[in-house]
This record gives sequence, structure tokens and C-alpha cells, in this order.
Amino acid sequence: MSRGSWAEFLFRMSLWLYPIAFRRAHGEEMTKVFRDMEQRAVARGQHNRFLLAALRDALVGPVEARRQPIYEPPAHLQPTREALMTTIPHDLKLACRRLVRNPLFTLIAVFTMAVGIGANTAIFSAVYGVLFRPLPLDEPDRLAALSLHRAEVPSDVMGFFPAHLEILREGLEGRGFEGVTSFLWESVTLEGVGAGEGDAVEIGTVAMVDGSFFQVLGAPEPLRGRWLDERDVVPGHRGQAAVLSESLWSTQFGRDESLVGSTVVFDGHTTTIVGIAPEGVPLPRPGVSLWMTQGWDPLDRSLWGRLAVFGRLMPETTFAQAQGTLATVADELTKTNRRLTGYAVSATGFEDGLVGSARPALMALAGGVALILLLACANLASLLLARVSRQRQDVATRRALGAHWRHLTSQQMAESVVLALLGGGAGLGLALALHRALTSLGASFLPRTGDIRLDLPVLAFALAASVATGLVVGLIPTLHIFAHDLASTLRGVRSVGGGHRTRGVLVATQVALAVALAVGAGLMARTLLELAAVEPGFRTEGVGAARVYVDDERYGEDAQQRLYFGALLDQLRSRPGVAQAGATSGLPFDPITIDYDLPYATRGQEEDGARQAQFRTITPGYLEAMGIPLLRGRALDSRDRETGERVALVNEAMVRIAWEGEDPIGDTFSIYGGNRTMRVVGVVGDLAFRGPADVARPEFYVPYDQHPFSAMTVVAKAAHLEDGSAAAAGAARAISESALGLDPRQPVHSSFTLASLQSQALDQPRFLTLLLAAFAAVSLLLAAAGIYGMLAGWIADSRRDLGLRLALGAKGRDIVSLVVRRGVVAAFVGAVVGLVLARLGAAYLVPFLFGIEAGDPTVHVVVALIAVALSVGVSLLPAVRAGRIEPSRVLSMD
Amino acid sequence: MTSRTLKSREFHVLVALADEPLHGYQMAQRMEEDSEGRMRIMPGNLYAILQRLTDEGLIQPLARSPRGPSDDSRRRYFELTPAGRRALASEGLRLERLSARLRSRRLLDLDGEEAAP
Repeated sequence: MSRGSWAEFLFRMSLWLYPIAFRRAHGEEMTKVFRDMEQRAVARGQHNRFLLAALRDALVGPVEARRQPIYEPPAHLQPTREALMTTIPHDLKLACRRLVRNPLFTLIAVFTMAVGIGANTAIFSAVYGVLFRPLPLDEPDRLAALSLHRAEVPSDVMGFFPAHLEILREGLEGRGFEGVTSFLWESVTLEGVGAGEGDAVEIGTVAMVDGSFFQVLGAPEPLRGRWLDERDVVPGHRGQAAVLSESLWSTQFGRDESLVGSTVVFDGHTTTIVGIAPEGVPLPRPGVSLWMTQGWDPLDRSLWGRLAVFGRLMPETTFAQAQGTLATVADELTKTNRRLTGYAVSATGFEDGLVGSARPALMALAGGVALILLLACANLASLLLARVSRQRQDVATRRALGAHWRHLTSQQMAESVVLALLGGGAGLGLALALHRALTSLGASFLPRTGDIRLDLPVLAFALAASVATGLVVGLIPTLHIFAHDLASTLRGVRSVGGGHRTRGVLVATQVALAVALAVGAGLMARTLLELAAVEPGFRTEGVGAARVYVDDERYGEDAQQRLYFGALLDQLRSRPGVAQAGATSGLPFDPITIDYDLPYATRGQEEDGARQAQFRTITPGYLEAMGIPLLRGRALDSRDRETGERVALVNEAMVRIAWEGEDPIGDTFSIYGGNRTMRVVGVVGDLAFRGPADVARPEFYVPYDQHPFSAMTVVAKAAHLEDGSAAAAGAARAISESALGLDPRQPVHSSFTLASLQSQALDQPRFLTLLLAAFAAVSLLLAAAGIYGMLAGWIADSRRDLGLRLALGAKGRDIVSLVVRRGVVAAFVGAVVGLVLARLGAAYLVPFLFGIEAGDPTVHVVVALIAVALSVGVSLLPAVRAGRIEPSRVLSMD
Repeated sequence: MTSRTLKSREFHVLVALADEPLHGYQMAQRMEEDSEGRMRIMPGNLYAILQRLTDEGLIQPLARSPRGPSDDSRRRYFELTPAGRRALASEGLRLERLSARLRSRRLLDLDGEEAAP
């Protein structure tokens, strides 16, 4: 081995486990001996044996280096291993008795551990439930979600077309894939049986599936009846048969056992119910209310770009191999459809697709609570240390009388383990409360919230965490027992060194961890403020919205759709409470809006796929209702009929890219490979379309009459905005009422206010901010308690010394500043280390940050100042008391 | 100071130093040879023992290398102090008495090694 092998590096690291003086005296030489020995071992071909011996040495050496041999009892007095084991119950009993005798100490210690273990248990339940709990599907790791996306921008995803499925099936089945299935999200209305008399009930989250869906996903046994299969599919038709979720079965059908096999009317069609699904099955994610069959019709335009596809890999196929097959299939797809030039198909793991989006947030939280546990450990260690130094005389006497070190150790350990277990028990209560907060706050964006449970694996975690922290925490005072110079303790020399230095280090550690957490919370809070302050390009005040997906059968023709939406908007505008109304194919901030990116060409150029813009069809009145500003030219109005000149509005982002900032009004551009040309008549403002953190994308708007669409979102702006959120809700209700008045069999699919949409967009940052802020507050509190405890302990041990100083003429405020300085120095060191820690840990938060750098100096400085200010405040309490020590009393006591 | 029983490894360190001052690596090698390969000691343990024996005044580090200034300055050599020689002798005697007793009861045919605790 040449100089500096990896083992030697680890050996150098292990030197930090030795006492400082020892390391200074021998460290260099030990490293040299280590290197010589390693060289010889390698030469003799005994390297592995050497490494094992080195590992043992790294554990034994630091203990040996602390052992003071004069007190080693002779062999016949050494207790046997059995004797040591039998004392454990006794030690536990003793520990309990000591804890009962010091209720205040026990209460504080248990509370500290409860916070640490409780927070960790709750977050563990979420991490385990969402990321690790096995999915109730057959071999879910063989399931792949296929996505169609721009080759160079994997995040730019488009749905599949019904026509693609044939190509996918032919290209994949038998070539690494066992089966392929597709589905799309829909919502339907339930009429008759289940719903009340004459009412229609809207059912969201409906999965329209093909015949192989349940078989390909490997669904578990249904609760009642059977799953859907090929028998239930009629090409070109939807809703032949359906499976209900358990919750829908309960809420709408009162768990009617005769339901399976009978028929129900959805969207005006008679549907046979063939089975009931157990709650929480991820098909393809938990929370689906209804599964219905649909035979895809390749000519049905409303399905284009909306299908999601899953595949099941053959047992021996890897994802990498599957990717190869997918590349060939992608080629085939682009050959049949010019629009897909530059697109690729990729496979991601099913589970990854289901929960992958939640992983960063959960991991950031797991990191945060791990810091809290460390902090709680440091806090408890510091408390125990204070006790040990108070019992120093007692321990020293017992050691001098021949008490074996293992006995003393095991007593210390027993106490800290009992404390940690009690803390863990109390922590479960906290975990329960946090668990509730987690599942309700995270419901909108955490997948599998139903799988977040406090059950056996989670309880096992809490127990393991308690025992492990108990042992680790117990180690510090134990090492301290052996580090102390026994002879001088017995002689009554009060050294104010060792224990207080260790406590200082522990307190600094607590401050560092609290500061790191507080910086994280600060960054997230700033992000939340920045996100809330974003001008999204539209106004939400008083605006209500409703999704209206017209029935294919009665409104299948373009002309019927024009008539329906025209009449609906007329009726809506005639209502006194509504100021403006319009409809769009894509509402900003709406999580279920379809992204519709189209390649376009400006005059004299070819479509190359590199330039794409978001396509939306809107009715007159939409821009006004949404408050999207018209910057130049004119808005769309009644002139823009089906037969008139094809026109469009473009947004500023599109002007920047397509016309390089020149005035586009009067110019034309084309889509669909030059098959449709439009004249630009106006320029409108940019939108943050997908949410406040989105950048402005190129967009163009075409008149609804020239491009009808069956799935629209209708928006209405209230006439009286002073009513606040009630105004918006009223506007949303107005849409539903107008729709019901127009055609009772065509109700709206869901209605909501734009303000609620905007608030939802902030759910995840709000969730992270709230939790991190709570963690930071708790940890600052613990750190403050740590500083207080350290100073109080030091003052108690130094009363004589302080009294002497006062007797010799020191002023009370000198003593105060002496004490405060001790607290502030520890806090300052901790704050500096904490800032470094925060800088390293910020990498976990980067994906969530918006409008602020991970290294934002203001947040760092403010947090550091808070920490130091807190330390001054909390140091003043014991300091002022120390300043009032009466020298005569203290000095006469000894 | 030395009324206590020496531990086996400590005794072996003293034995290794009986002839001449040695540095750490030489001691480890010498101990291995003396014990016919049965006593292998690693740096952490070795220096903990050296520190302890130094604290008790049984050995002391040499101010400079016995091989002159050409030797690696990081190598510190240790030698026995007079107290160390006495401790070594008394431990040797104790072991000898023990082996004599074993031999008188015909329990020992070869020279024993592991008599110390």
C-alpha cells in the first residue's frame, strides 16, 4: 500500500474518538505505526485480517485510552458476564426509582425525547406509508408508466392517442412487455337509483379503462363481484360496465349488497355494476371513485392526447431493455403522425410515477426531523451529564471501592434507555396529532395518504428509535465517568473543566441544529411569500368557474356545441349577479387542464417542432372575466364567426419568440402543418399558467366558434366584489344553476372559485413551511432550554468561585456578563456551525424554493441574529441570579 | 504505584522493552515474535497502554533516537524506567511461582504464556 490508503484515512478519522491530549501526544506516531503494519499485512497477504483487527482497535482503543488502570480490580473480583447480565433488571428498577425521585428532571427529559421521537415517528409513518409500504398489486415493480414526451424535454409530456394503442400493443407485447393497458380521467353524473329523486350527482375521479386494465396492473381480489375485462368493452362505446369504489358504494348506495349485477344510470347510459373495489387500491392511484369501460374510437377527437398508458414487463426484462423496445415503437409512432416528430416514449416505474413527486418533500421533512432527534439527544445527554457531575463524588467512591466499570455503565445506560422509552411512549401521542395534521394538510398532493398509518412497522420504528437514542445518549455521560480524574475528585478538588466543556459542546450542537432548521423554515417561508405575491397575469377576485363537458351523444356535432355554450353564456350574463362570463379550453392553475402544445410556423417558415405554443380556444368575454389584459389590437368578439376570417390572439411571450418583439398584428401564422392559417388581431398579457412558479409560455387564443371543443371551463365574474369569497362562490353557483336551467341532463362537472385554485397551488409549499416552522420553533425552544440548563449547572458548580470574586470586589454586573458570555459563546459557535449545516442541507430544499436563493444572506443573518438574541435572553435569567449571590453565605457554606 | 497486577498486554510491552529501547512498530513486532504470533496489537490499544505505563512511571520516552539524527523524527523510542524493571521482575517472579505450582501438580509440560489475566 502506498502512503494514505483508505484504511489509513479511516484510521486518522478514528483518532478523533480519543481524548484530545492523547491524540496530540500520539496521533502522528500511531498513524505511522498503522501504515507500517498495513504494509506488512499486505505483503503477507493478510490485509483483510488486518482490517478486521483495525476495526476492533478503533472501538477498543478510545475506551482503553480513557481507562485508569489503578482501579482495575484483580481478576477474582471481576464480575462474570453472567453476573453482569443478571444486574440488568436491577439496574432498570434502580433507574426507575431514581427517575421517580426527580419528577421535574424526568418530566423535562421525557418531554424532550417525546418531541424528538414523536416527530420522527410521524414523519416516518408518512415516508414509510407513501414511499415504502408495498403496493397491494401483483409484482408492482414490473409495472411501467409509459409517457410520450418531447425527446429533449422529458417534462414536456403529452397524452397518447387512441390510434397509438394499436402500434404500442403490436410493438411491445411479447417483446419485453406482457401487456399494455390505457385509461383516462373523466367525471360522470349519476342519475336515478343512487342519487336522490330527480337529482344528478357529479362523480369526479372516474377512470375510463380498456379491457385489460385490471389484469395488466395486477389488481388484488375485488371486495365484491369481479373486475372489468374484455367482455365488458364495446368498441366506440363507453360505460357498458363499471366497478364502484367502496366509498361510493357506501355514500350513494348504502352498501346495498344487491347492487352487483344490477344497472345504474351514468351520464344517461345504463351501466352494469360488476364489482366493488376495496378502499385505497392504487388503480392507478388511490381515490378513484369509479372504473368504467370504454372502447377507444380513434376518430373521437375528444380522446386525442388524453390517454395514459401502463405496461407490465415480462419477468426477466429490465427497464433498460424495455427502453430499447420503446425507442423502436416511438419511431413507428412518429412515422404515422407528423406531429410527433421529435417525441420519444419512456418507461418509468409505476410506483415512482405514483409517489415520486412526493419523495423530495418527504425526504426534506425526514432530514428536518432527524435534526430534531439529534437535538433532543444532545439535550438529554446534557441533562444527564449535569446529573453525573453532581454525583461525581458518589461514583468516584464506588469506583474506588472496586465497582466494576460495566456496572456503572449499565446503570447509566439503564437510566437513559428508560427515559428514551418513556419519551417514545409520550411521543406516540404527539405522533398521533402530527399524523392527523400530515394527512389533512398533505391530502391534496401527497399520494397514498390512506397508507399513512400508525401501525406495527411504525410502532417498531418508534421502539427501535427509543432504544437506540437511549443507548447513544447514555454513552456520553458514561464516557464522562471514565474521563474524570478520580483521585482529585476523591480529594474533593472541584475541577470546573471536563463536564462543562462537554455540555458546552452539546449546547452548541443544539443551537447549530436549531439554526439549520430555522434557516430551512425561513427559506420556505420566503418562498411562500414570493409565490403568494406572484402576479399570475389574471385576477381571481370574485371569479367562479365550472367544468362543463358536454355529452357526446346530444352535443357531438360542432354546431350543437356552439349552440350549447352560446346559450349557456347568454343565460349566465343575463343573471344580475354576474358581470362577465366566458369559457376556455384551458384554465390557468387548474391541475386537471390539458396542456396543449402545438408546433406553429410564422409566415414564410416551416413548422419544425422546435417552436411550440399553448393552444386555447376561448369565447368572447373570457379575457374580461379573467382580467387578462389586452395590450394591443382588439379582443375576440361576435365578428369572429365560424365563417369569418380565422383570427387569433397571441401573448407577449409568443410575440417575443415568434416575431422577435416586432408588432405581430395583421401578420399570420399557421398550425397543423400549414393546414390552418390565422391572422393575429390582438396581443394579450402573459400568464403563469401551471402555477405561480411557472414561467410565461407562448400561448395563442382562437375564437370558440372557429374551433369548438366539448370540454370547456366556464368562468363568471361576480358583479359585486365587495362580498369577497362569497361573491366568487355565488358566481360559481350561478354557472351550475344556468346549466341546469338550460338542460337538466347536462349538469356541470365541478365548480370552484379561482381563489381556491390559487390557494391549492400553494398547498405543498405551505405544508413544508408550516412543518419546518413548527420544527424550527420546537428546536429553538429546546436549544434555549439547553443553554439555560448548561448555565444553571455551571453556576451551581461555580458558586464558591463566583462568591469569591464578588467578595474580592467584582460587581454583580461583572458576574452577569461572565455568565451571559458563556451562553453567547456557545450559541455563537453553534450558530456559525448551524449556518454551514444549513448551507449543506439546503440542497434538499432547492427543488421547492422560488424567488429566493438557497444561500439567501438575509434569511441566514436573521436566523443567526434570532439565535444569538435568544441565547442572550435565556442566559440573562440565570446570570441575574448569579449576580445576586451573597459572598458571605456561599463562602461560609463549605 | 505498581502493587496492582499487570495486564497481559502491558506485561508483554515491558518484556519487549527489556533488552533495548524500541519505537511503537518495533514493539508490536517484538511482541508478536515473543508470543509466537499469538499477541497481535494494534496502534490504538498499543498507545493507550504506552500512555498508561508512562503515567505510572514504568516506561519513559527517549528524548532522541538511539540511532542518531538520521532516524525518522516522528518515531519516539520508549525505554524501561527502574520502576518498570522492578515491576517486570516482580511480575516475572509471580508468573514463575505460578508455573512452578502448576508444574509440581504435573499440569504443565511446556512453558505457559497465558498465566496473566
